[in-house]
Amino acid sequence: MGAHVSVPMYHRTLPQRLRLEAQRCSACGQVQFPPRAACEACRAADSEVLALSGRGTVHAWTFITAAGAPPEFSDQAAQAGGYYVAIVELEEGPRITAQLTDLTEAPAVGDRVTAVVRKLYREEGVQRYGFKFTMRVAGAANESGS
Amino acid sequence: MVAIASYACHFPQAAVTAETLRTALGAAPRGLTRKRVAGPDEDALTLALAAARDLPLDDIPRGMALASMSLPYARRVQAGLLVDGLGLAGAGAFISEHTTSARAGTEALTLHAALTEGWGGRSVVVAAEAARGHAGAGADARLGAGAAALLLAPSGGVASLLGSEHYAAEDPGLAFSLAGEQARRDVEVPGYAAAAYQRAIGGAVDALLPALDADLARFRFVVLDVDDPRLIAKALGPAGLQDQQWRPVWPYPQTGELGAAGALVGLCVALDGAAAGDWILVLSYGGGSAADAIAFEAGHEAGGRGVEAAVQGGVEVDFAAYLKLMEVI
Repeated sequence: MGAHVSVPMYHRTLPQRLRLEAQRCSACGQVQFPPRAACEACRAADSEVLALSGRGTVHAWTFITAAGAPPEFSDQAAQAGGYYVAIVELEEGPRITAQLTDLTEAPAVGDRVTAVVRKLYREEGVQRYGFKFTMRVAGAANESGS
Repeated sequence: MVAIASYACHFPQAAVTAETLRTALGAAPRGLTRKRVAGPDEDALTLALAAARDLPLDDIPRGMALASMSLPYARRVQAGLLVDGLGLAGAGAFISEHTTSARAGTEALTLHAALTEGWGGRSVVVAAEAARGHAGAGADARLGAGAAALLLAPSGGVASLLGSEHYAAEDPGLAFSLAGEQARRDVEVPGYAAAAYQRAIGGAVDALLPALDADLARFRFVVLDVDDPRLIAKALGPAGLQDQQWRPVWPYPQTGELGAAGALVGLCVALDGAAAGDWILVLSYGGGSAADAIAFEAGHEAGGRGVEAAVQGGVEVDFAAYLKLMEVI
C-alpha cells in the first residue's frame, strides 16, 4: 500500500524535500527531521529552522524489489528491478530514510553519502521531487565542476 | 561592467560511448566519442538545480533564467523549483525561461546581462538538457545531458563582459520540431543549412569584432555549440579561426549535443582553462535563425573548478542500460 501525498501536502513539505530544512529545539537544542509540532526530546514547541548539510553515512540499507515497492515507485522498481533504500545518519544527528541513487555497486554500512534532489514519482500528473542520497562526491571527476 | 562572478557545471553519471552505439546501431554520430545520459530520476530541472547549487548564493538574486529544450512540463513556469531548491524563494526575483532553440542559453545570458547592468543586483543563468525518447541512429542520437550555471553581477573576478552582438532573420526549414513533437525534423539540405549557419554566425561576429576593435585571433578561446566541424570551418575559417581556439573548449565529443546548455557548458570549460586577460568568444546559433556573439575577458578568479574533469568523467553503461535511461524500453 502506498502513502498518497496530496499536491497541497507536497507543497507544504517542499522546504524539507528540496532543502532538507529541519528544526533545532530552542529549549534543548535537539535537531529533528522532518519538522514536527513539538520537540521529540523535551516536548518544547519553539524551534528554529536549520538547513541540514545533506552529508551523512549509511547506517543501514535494504533493497526493495518490484514486488515490494509501493505503487508510486512501482514503475521505477519495474524498470530497474528494484532500488536501494537506506537509513542515513546525517552529520547533524538525525537519521532519515531515503533512496540511494547513482550506485555502481551495493552500498555498505558506513559509506559516505550526500543528498541530491531527484525526481521521485509522478502522481496526478504532478512530478514530485525530493532528496535521495548519492555516493558521488561534488567536484569529483564524474559529477560537478564548480 | 557586467561580470561573471562564479560558474559551475553538472553532468549525470551515466555515459554511453560512440563505440557502443556503433556496435548496436551500425552507426554513431560523426565526431562523438561518448555522451552523457540522464539517470532515471533526473531531468533538466534536477540537473539545473545541481549546477546552480555549486554557485555561492546567499540571498535572493534580482534575476534567474532557465534555458532548456527538455523541461518536464510544456506549459508552466518551472524555474520555481530552482529558486525554492536554492532557498531563494520570495519577492524580488525576475524569472525568465528560454525554451525554443539551442540558442536559449545565450538568449538567457544576454537578457540577464542587460538586466544586471540596468537593475544592478545579481542574476543566475542556468541551462540544462536531459534528452529522452530517442535511441535510434538518427540525428537525435547526438543528444546528451548536462547543465551549466553562471552567476552574473555588476562586478566580479571570473570574467568581464566585453560586449555582445546578435543576428536575426528568417531561415525556414532548418532542424525543428512541431509543437508537441519530441523528435527533430530536418529538410536535410546540408548546403542550405551551412549557408544559414554562416549567415547567422557570421552576421553576429561581423558586428561584434569592429565594436571591440579586434579580430578573431585576439580570442584565446572560441566556444561553439554546433556538432559539425565542417560547419565551423565554413563559417569561421575565412575569418581565421584556428583549431586550437575552439576544439579545447568544444564539449560535444565528450558530452553529446547539449542544446540550450551547449554554449554555457563550453563557456565554463573556457573559463576554467583561461588565464587572466584571455579573451573568450561565445557563439551560439538557433536554427530559424538567430545567433549571438558574446565576448568576455577572463579575470583572476577564473580556473580551478574542475570543469574539464567533470566533462571527461562519468560511468559508462551498455546499450541495454542506455535504452532504459532514454526511456525507450
